[in-house]
Amino acid sequence: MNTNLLFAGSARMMMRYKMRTFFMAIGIIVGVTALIFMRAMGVGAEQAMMDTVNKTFSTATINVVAGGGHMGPRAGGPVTSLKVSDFNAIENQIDGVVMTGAMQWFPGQDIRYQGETRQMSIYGYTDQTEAVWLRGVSEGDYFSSEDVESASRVAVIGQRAAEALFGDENPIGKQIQAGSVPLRIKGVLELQGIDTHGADKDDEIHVPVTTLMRRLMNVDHVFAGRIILDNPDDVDAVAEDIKVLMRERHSLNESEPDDVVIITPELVQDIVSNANRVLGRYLPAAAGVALLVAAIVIANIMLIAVKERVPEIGIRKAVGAEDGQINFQFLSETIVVSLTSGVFGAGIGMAAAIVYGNVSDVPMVVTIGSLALGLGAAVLVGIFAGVMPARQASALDPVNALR
Amino acid sequence: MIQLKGICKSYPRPDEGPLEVLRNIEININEGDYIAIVGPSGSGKSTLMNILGLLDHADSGEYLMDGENVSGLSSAKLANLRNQKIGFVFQQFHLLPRTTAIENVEIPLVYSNADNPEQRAIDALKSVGLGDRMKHMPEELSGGQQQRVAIARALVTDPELILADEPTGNLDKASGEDLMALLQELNDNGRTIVVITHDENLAKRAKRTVRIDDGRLSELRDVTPDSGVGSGETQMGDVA
Repeated sequence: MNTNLLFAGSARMMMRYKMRTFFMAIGIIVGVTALIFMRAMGVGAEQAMMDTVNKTFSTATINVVAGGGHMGPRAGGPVTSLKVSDFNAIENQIDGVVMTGAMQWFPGQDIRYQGETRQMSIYGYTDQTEAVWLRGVSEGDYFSSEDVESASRVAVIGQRAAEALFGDENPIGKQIQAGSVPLRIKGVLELQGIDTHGADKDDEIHVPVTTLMRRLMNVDHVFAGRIILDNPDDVDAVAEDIKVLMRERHSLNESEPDDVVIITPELVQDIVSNANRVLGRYLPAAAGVALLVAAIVIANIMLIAVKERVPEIGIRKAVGAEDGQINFQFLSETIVVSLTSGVFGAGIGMAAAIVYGNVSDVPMVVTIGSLALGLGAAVLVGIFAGVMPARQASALDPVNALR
Repeated sequence: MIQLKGICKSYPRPDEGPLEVLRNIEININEGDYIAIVGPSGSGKSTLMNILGLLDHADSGEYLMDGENVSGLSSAKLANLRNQKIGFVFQQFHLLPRTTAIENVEIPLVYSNADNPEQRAIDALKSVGLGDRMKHMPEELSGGQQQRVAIARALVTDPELILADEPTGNLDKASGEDLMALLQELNDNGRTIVVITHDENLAKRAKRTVRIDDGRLSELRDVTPDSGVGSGETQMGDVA
């Protein structure tokens, strides 16, 4: 068989029966475009979140959050048992711990500068923040250990917050007002973007945790803290030691539940990837439904085409086409249409994803895997839709076909 | 070249017994023959044509092509034999629509291993006098020209036998004459031709005329130079 000649002939027929080919193609183009686009969205979201997680939460890290059994503060009032001294104890008593950093949080506070007022969260950290929470300053200085010890009235500010309050002025050295407490700006925080909870990490200020507790919140407990380990492999063992130590220090008897939540990297990644499953898998599955519909449409068009082409099949058989060759021709026609449409769909989907990624804030990532998935789906659609019509065509009796 | 021995074919009918279409057909087709098969509608002409063309199977009897019995061959093998040894010409031309003359003529070459298919198709079209219509669609050609394209398609694999089923049936008188002249020319060049026809004039041009009536075959006329038989009715069995 001369396959070049056969393919050339099939290609010509598809060009000449443009409407038929168009309707076969359009479903696949739309389906594959949607598949690539949605997958780019899913992968982009997952990568962005994982980036944030990895940036803020390395694998040798454990977070301890006040509150039993819940992520974050327990309903029914704040848990007040977690203290800065707990973290000092963890750092001094548990093997494998390199350093710790306690943290307190005072959300939604009015910060004033001259006439401007802006509501933002105030975070209290120790001087270890750059090493423990992986965030430093891009200008000026972070607060020092002396600042923490003496509960100094100093702050560092996020870039968006700084722009909002100071405009073009240099914020360093300026004095802002949090409630009745004046705070001197020592530095501007590195850009970080939106965190996994949706909070804008560039629209907040940091003060020494002691300053926040004593001068602003008037409490003696912290909200959470972070523990940095020597070796990522020790995470589970250290987490267990922390749990025991916390129960001991908080004098919990056996019937009482834990009053802190211990969050390991594994737990965080599980939570993030679960959240992304909707985006990464179920949206492309919706595109898959579009492709299934396309397959049914193509199968239908091909079945009608086989009926229209009965004389052609008769002639081809009379001049020497074997049944298998007719089968091959019809199947390859659907596969070629599907694959070509798939290439178009992948191209359009990729272009749309890149353009959308550039004009919006939504991270879009097109991977080779996504493109392969799109083309593979297109070919599968072709095979699925082509098998039955091809079999029908090849089974035609030439005598009847030519009558 | 082709020998049919005791070919029988019948079709089942729901309420009556089977319809016997061909009864004990015996015929030898020799290289260089030009045979016209005549007979009334329903006499079994087309069935005989389909069996000769390896498109249909006989119920019983032997079909020898170049000495080989074809009755046991697979459908793929039969397709190859059709491709290599037989060229079909149909009453309705059966050209692919929206497909140029040259592309139509190339179709049999899709299923062969012949090299240079385009040149072969060009040569075949030139040989039927359509060298200047090669890029035309069937819709742009007259009936006579379409049938010439069909003959070029039949010739393109250089088969031993041309089987033509009512080739002038859809043509006006002048085109019919042209076509008969073309068949004559092919036969003069040594091509074996079997033609089914109602057309007296076409039948007269053939060297031999056989008649089918009620499924039985009889030789009417044989003017093949070495047959020694003139016009007049002869029972087939005697000739074979």
